[in-house]
Amino acid sequence: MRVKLLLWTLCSALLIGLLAGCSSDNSGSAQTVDGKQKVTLTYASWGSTNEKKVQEKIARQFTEKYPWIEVKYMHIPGDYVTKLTTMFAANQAPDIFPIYKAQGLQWAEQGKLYNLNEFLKEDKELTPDTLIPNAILYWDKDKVAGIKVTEEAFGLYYNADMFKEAGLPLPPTQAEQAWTWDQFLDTAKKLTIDNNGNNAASPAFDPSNVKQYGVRFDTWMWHLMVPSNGTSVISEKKDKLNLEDPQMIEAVQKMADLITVHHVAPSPTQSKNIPAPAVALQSRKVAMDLDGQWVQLDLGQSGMNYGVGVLPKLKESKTTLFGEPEVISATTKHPKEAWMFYKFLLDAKSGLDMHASGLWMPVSKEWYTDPALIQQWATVKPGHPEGYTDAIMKQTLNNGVNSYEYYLKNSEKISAIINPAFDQVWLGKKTVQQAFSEISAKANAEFKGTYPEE
Amino acid sequence: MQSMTETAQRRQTISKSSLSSIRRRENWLGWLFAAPAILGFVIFVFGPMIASLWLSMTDYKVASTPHFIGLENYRNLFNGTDAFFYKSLGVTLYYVILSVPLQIIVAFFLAILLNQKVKGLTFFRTAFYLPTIVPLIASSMVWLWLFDPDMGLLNVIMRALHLPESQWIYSETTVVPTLVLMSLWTVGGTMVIFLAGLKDIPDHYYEAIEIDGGNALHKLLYITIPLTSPTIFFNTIMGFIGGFQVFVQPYVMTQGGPNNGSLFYIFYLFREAFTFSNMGYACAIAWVLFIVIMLFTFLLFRTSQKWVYYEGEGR
Repeated sequence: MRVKLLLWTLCSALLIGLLAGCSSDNSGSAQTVDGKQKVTLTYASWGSTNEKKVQEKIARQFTEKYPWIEVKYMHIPGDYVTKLTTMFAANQAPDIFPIYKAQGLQWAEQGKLYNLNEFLKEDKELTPDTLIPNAILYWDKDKVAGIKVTEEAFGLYYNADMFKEAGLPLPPTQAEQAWTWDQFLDTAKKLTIDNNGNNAASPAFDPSNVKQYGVRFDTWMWHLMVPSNGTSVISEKKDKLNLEDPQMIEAVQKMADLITVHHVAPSPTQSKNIPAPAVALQSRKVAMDLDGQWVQLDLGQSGMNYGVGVLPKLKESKTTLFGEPEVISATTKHPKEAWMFYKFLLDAKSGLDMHASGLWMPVSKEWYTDPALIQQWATVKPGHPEGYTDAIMKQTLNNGVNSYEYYLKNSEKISAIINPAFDQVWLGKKTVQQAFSEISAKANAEFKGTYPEE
Repeated sequence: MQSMTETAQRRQTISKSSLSSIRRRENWLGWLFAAPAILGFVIFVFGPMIASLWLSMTDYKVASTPHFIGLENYRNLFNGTDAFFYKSLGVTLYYVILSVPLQIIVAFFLAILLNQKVKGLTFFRTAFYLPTIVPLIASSMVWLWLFDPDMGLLNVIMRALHLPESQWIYSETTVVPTLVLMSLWTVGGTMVIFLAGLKDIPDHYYEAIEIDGGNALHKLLYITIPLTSPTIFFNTIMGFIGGFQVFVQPYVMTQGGPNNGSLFYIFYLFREAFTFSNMGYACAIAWVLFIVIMLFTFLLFRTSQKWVYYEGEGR
């Protein structure tokens, strides 16, 4: 009998423990702080452990400023979209979070996100005019899916020591002096050296035995040079993909030729042996890197003598913009407070460390034009090399073109069709034209229109 | 004195009534103890299955309310509007047809080898079984390094032996055979089941063959294989079902590439569900897989009549 009683108590204790563990955290009882109803917001984001610390700090600072709004930060280091999708399905989506532009626009169309235009058109502090161009993402007329929380732009990063030793002029930082593609290619050839000491410009060059590459780039940025060639991935009439446009094909083929014809850039397979961009530049595996400005964080911390220049141009000097939007979920219970936190996030002052480190770029115009503000981030070393204000900052403001992914509906599905075609291109087995013509019909079958630009 | 029948009847009624309360209690206890398993199945397997069947007939995109669209999802799969359905089915079938026979053969011969009296038998059995308990994601990362075309150990060995190097998972044509090769590393689980099956064969059958003047080949063909055919059958079915559900390798190692060469079915489903947010469509894809596996299993069962010998049954 005693044993039985003991067993029963053990079992019920286990059961209660289980139920208690499974129940969700309920801080719902109404409390007031400073006479205002207490509000709890959930803020989620991606990022490294460093970024996690910064985000937590931002959340804390916001609550210090507005004590009745508690911001709970949730760090999602991997499988970001999967995790968010599951949270939406469980009706537990965070109130504010950043999201990749393709998903953000898609989710806005599907009703997952709040139409920020409600706030944007009434707000006195945050208006389209106070923001840099191309910062607002529309999914429909007057419907704002999100605003970029930080801007991202592309530039030409290089190891300055390698240039000095080779006796080559450094890449230009001003758009007016941007290299032509041929000048860029020439420099890359001189900086690609095989194990026998021959560079890519010499006839004795052995492409299968390369010790140092002139340039590297991520193959998912195949469309980097398209705006510079005066065209776009989406046709001008916005009725289909521009896969037959000769300018488009030329812009992409020039990137592919770096790998397959001139051998100045590593192929995707060879890239597997080359470490991350900052380390690759530091260890002299590559001399130049066509990359997003976010690499400046790692480059700055590496202690290396690095520099930044404007991207080479085809017809005009342009840079491709990539910043991901911050969004508010449609299921938020506190839209007004969420908007307050949203503005706090978009203000570069809140996360000034990250801006000064080189990782983030502000989205308010005043940070690009007011000298007092500029020197708080754009000239801070080591995250910002000399010439950054011209090569990246001014370029973003004046010559920035949004990536086509901001405007293409169903872009994830279309990318799933286009990207495998590229596998053949990077191996040199097909030209860009052949690859595009093969998948053009399938890709255009998935073309569902475009999002408005304003 | 009561008659024998009366006593018997009385005993029956007594035992019935007193037994019924015991029986009722046992009944109730039985249900109680089975309840967690039954509840677990209903809540976590059966319920979601029904939900998924319903969702497969809607256009559910996770946050929007699902609208019933009938069999449109299924139609879109089969009539070719989806660029990846037939490709992923093809890739998965290719993998299954390549991997299952190979796994059966390798596991079977390993089991035979480890059924002999060799030194260090326990060590070898453990060594061959250990890979199956390594988490698949961890081993996939290690295999990624081994498969590296320039610095990976496999190509280094090929180079040292003056054999042609391979692109392994980085070439469209070799990615599936490479994954099949990788799956052979974890063949230990199948091997252990074969070992169990082999142990069931009585020794006197082998002695009979020896007396009749047969050699090892005869033993294999006429005793070992027929008498382990139920185990072979079981492992084939499990291998098929597992082969169709491969996900981790494409997810971690190849992301479906190169050029959709490793676009396995479950990876394609996962992508539809979470990257493209087409949950309803993904549910339809899942149910198609269910039907495909059911079909294969059914076919295997039908053909099994011809070659599987169960001890105790007539031919």
